[in-house]
Amino acid sequence: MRTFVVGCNHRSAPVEKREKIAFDEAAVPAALQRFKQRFPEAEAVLLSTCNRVEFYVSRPMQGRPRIDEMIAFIGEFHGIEMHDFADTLYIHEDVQAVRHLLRVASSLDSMVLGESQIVGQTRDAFKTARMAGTVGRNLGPLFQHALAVAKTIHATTGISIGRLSVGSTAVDLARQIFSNFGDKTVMMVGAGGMGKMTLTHLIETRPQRVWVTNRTHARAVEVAERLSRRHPLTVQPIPFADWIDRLAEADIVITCTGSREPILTAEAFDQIPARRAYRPILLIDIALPRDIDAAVGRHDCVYLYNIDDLQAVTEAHLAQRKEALAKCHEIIEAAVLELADRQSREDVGPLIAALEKHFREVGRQELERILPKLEKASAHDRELIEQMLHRVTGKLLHGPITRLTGDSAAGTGRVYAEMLRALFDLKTEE
Amino acid sequence: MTQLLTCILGGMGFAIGAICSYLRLRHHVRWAPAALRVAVTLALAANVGYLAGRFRSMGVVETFRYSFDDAVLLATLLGLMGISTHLARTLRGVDGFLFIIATALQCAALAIVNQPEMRITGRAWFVSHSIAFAISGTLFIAGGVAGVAYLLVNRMLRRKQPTTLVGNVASLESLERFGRWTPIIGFPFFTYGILTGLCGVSHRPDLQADDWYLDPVFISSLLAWAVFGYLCYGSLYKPQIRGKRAAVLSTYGLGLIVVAYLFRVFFSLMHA
Repeated sequence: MRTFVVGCNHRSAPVEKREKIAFDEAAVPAALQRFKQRFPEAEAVLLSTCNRVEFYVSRPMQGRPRIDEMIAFIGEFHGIEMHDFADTLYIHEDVQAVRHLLRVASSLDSMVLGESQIVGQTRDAFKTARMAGTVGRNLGPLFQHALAVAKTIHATTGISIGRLSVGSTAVDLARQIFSNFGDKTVMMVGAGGMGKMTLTHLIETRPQRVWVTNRTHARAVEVAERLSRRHPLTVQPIPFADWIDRLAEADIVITCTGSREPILTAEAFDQIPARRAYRPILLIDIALPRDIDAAVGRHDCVYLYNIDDLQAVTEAHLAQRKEALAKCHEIIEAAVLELADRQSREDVGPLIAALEKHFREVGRQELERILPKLEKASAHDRELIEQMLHRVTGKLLHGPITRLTGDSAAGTGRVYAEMLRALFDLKTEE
Repeated sequence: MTQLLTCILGGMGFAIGAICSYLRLRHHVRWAPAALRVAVTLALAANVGYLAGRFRSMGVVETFRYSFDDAVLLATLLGLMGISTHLARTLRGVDGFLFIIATALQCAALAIVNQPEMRITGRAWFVSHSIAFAISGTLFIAGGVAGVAYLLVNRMLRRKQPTTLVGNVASLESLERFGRWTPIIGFPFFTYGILTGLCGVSHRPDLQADDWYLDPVFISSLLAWAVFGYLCYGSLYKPQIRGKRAAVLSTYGLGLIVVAYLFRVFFSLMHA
């Protein structure tokens, strides 16, 4: 069997091109059905996400589709000319295709290194293909193996450690300080885009109360209403004049105003810890210039993070993920070797059977030709001749078969296989 | 021989538990939690089996006349506390510390294998002295461990380098809650242990002549009692004794408990 992948991703093609050949959720089964009708002997899995469109195909050695047919098939499905995509499509064959699939499924090829979404997307693509009946004994095990490798990589290498956005990092910090959000209050001061994004992440923890305040109260009301519509909890606008006073009740505070001076000074905050009974408070200051005086963070119960601190955390996470890359590559290479070895053995098996059949057939024909001429030979003599022929055939085949199976993992097995097919005109069933 | 075997099996089981806890936290090793549970269960089974055998052959009262058996009981309770925190999702990371202490206890018990029985009063009620100290010791150690974990997490958050451990160790709130309630529950047991100890002294005419109150165990126990007493009072009535301050106090308390235990095993006249 030959396996190849044709596709494009966020690196090879700009979004304007990707969107033209992307398959939406409903189009994927339709495309697979059409593929099955056109190439009934071949297998296919179609992975179409916002960052990539990839067709994984496996076909018999001498079968269809060839790569150019596959590209034409994609163009035909979308009703577009594929010439424009020549420089954006990539093609990987056999071992390279396997390696590419493992890298994709393990999110090493993703825009955000180590993101876990792609694992689910690969699994969904595999399920859809299985339901469409385009997965067989070649792509089935390959995708199952790829998903298992992805799981191992995510679980053991630290490639998905930490978060890479400011909003999600803030949530991680909040979770490291608080265990239960059902009795917590989140307050956002200001209505900056970054603040809203961070608040959106924090709302996912389902806090008891969410307050929004802004110098322009109408803006706070507008933001509160918008957030209330999107999320299943009530976001309450509070007067800006009260916000420092409300710190006694709030547990997580996001500040993102455009003020040139700090809106929370150490003096203004001094009385707050006692009023809060020294409960911890997480202050996330993502304004520039900073909204909160750094001296506020000196209190034992205060955890103050500004935008640089959060970015440093996300950068540290990214660095850690990159450190894990070498280990991921090791796992992938081991898996690629294993899969290539398995594939070669599967390819070589039918060939060996055909080779043996061919030799035995020649022997049988010669035996049938010679035995009638040996009139004086006893039954015992005939049996001896048959045994000798069997042994000679076996000895002649021993060397080539050993080399064929032994070198299959090394990659030269395929060359030997092609040569044997050509030399002896062997036909194998795949 | 049985004591030696108990020490080796228990110590190894808890040590493997501690290593697996570390591997789970830092390296996300998938098999670590399962290996931890198996190893600690085997260690607990070895300890419980040993104690059950002693109870059967000598009776409960006689058993606790031996320092070794006290140590095994304490290690078992710590192991149980460790496995409980391991199973509680909100207390991730605490189990490792507890298994380390349980391992240390079992290793220290190697030094008192086949030690003769203590010259303590043989009255049946006195067994509650050992049991009360084992329970309170476990709870104080658990509280102290929570305090140490709190200080580590707090340091990580304050240095603003919360990288690998974020999300893998218990939150400050969970650690504080655990560190607050364990000493509160353990304190009455500890007080009872001290009081029964004092009663035990009055049954020992040989000690009356000496300055028994200068015994290092007595002094360190009183200090630990005072520290944990203040911690309990602060937890209930003084909000400023919470968070980092409470964690520091529990850590001191943990240190005092360890010192008191070492004195009790190696340098105590009262427990000789």
